Amino acid sequence: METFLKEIEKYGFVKSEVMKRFIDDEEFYKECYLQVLEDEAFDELGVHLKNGSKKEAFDCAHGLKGLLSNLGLIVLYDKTSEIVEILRGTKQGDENVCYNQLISLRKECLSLL
Amino acid sequence: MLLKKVILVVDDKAVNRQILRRLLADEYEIIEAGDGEETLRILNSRDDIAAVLLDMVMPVMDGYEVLEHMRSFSNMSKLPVLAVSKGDDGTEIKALSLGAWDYVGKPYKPMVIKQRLKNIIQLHEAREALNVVEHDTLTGLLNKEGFYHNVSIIIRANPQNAYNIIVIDIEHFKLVNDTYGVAEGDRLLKYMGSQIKNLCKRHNGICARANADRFFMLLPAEIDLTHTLNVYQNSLFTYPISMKIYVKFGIYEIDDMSIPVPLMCDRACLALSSIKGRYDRISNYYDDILRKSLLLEQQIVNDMESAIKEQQFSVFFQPKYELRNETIAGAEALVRWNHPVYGFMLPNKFIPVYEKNGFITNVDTYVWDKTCEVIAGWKKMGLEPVPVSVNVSRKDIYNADLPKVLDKILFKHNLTPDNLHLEITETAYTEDSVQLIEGVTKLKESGFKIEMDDFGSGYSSLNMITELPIDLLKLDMRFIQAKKKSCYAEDMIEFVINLAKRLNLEVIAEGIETKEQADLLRSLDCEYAQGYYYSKPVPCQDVAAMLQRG
Repeated sequence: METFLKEIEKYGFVKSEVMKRFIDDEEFYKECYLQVLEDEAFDELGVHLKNGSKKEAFDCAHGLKGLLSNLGLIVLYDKTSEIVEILRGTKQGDENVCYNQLISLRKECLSLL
Repeated sequence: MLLKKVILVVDDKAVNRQILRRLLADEYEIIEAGDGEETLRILNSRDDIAAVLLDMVMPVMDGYEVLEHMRSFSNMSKLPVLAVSKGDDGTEIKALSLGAWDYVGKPYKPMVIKQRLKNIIQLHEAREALNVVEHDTLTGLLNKEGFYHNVSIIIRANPQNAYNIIVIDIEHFKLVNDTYGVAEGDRLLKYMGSQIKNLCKRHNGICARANADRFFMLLPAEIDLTHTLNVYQNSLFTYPISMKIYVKFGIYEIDDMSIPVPLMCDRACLALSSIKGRYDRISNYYDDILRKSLLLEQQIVNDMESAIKEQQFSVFFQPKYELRNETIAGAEALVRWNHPVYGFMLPNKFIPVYEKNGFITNVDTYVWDKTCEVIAGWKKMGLEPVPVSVNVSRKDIYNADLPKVLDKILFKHNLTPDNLHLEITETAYTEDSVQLIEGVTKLKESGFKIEMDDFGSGYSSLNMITELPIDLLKLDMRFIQAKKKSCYAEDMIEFVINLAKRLNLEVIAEGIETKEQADLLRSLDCEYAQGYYYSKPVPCQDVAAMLQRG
């Protein structure tokens, strides 16, 4: 487990900050980690982006932001935030590129389990 | 063990709910809702929720809609809500403006969430406690303290406006509880409360349940109170109970805003208490006359002990005459009070007060003793004593030891029962006829002559004169004076005298003021007369001189 927490540090995880939220229960954290990364919102976001449904895509990304922030996976969180900002029109960029990067980060994280 | 407070955690993401549950489960019982609609269903079905942790961004129905719904339902509007938001797009302001009490952001900061949750729960409990302190739990109206507080604020904030304080009381409310049960009594109080609340709403007033069946209102003075209160009374007649609900109103017109509100309410209560039990009055205003009369009544109560101790009561005798030969046949003992402040006081001022508080027994005993002392004095002077009638109040008769008390006084002065006649009033019969008959029978068996005082002045019942073992009827003077007004009255007098004779009762007419009255009564075969025509009440020693003269 210790190895796992060490490994996710590269995704912005800071144990001292994040684990208080999970009452220092690493098993519980891992449960939530899996649950978040398997959240259907990742796929839904892809579908909405593909269909050009910006409002729905925005809601999905917004929801994911909250989940990822709680897990302390800041790299994934930042990528989701980028999508949100692009969809909101406050940032230039390609939301589909960002989404692909997010999915690939998600895949990496899942492979750590 | 104390029950944990219940927190409703609302978030469409199960993982967020799980995290919050783990964070808070030590201190709270957690229930969860996954969307806004489920949230409202839970809030509608449970009343034990201490606070709501509400995510603002959710599908189906988001947190803002939930807040809007909660605001419009009274059972939810006061519930504390801790909004959960990302805090990056003005969501906090929006949530707070819709009624959220506070907010927390994501990612969750455990200590911040716990503290903010604790804060809003404590604030809510403090508000509820204040609400309970100021409100009556049965009717939901303000309670007495809440009323005082609110009236004080209103009248200070509107010194240019005039207001009345009205106190409302149900007549014989205990009878409702006794007959139909406390639950029915409570239902009536709730109904009364809702009617009063509506009345106050219509007229920009406020109201409270002060205690038991007593309600307070503050209403602007420009309202037509007579009409408004009558309408209110009539509305109670339709209350579904087989007993008519009557209320009384005591009114205090606020003429001095510097008076403490509780005192204003006391004054309205005093106005009300002076008409309690009176069928001819529905409302009464507190005024200076009432205030003075209540103060005098209180003074009479305050001074009663010292009046006896310092022998301030004096006994006067009014002679009774035999109409046939106009000689003294007896006397009636009448009490007067030489009050150190108010001076010479007639019994109609203080006797009703003492009948109310029970002190009449002491006054009567004092008069009986003084009367016997005078009769014993006559004997010592070698005079042939005439019987003297003394008043025996209702309260005395209900005392089972009354014959012993009288015997003791007679024994002390070496007298016998034939020296004293006992006068009872016909009103006593209407209160508790069985007990009265028992008491009078005992006195009769002890050898006393019983006279029925004030016959014809009130509810004269033929039953009464046949059932009570009385010896003599005293015809009320008002009955005689009515003779001036109609011939019919003369027939009535003749009828009563004949009736008394048929029942073997003697008759004395009291209040005789003219020779014509005396002649009429004599012609109708009435035996005795008493009144100013013969003699006003005089000090006892004067009667000795009259007896000496024969």
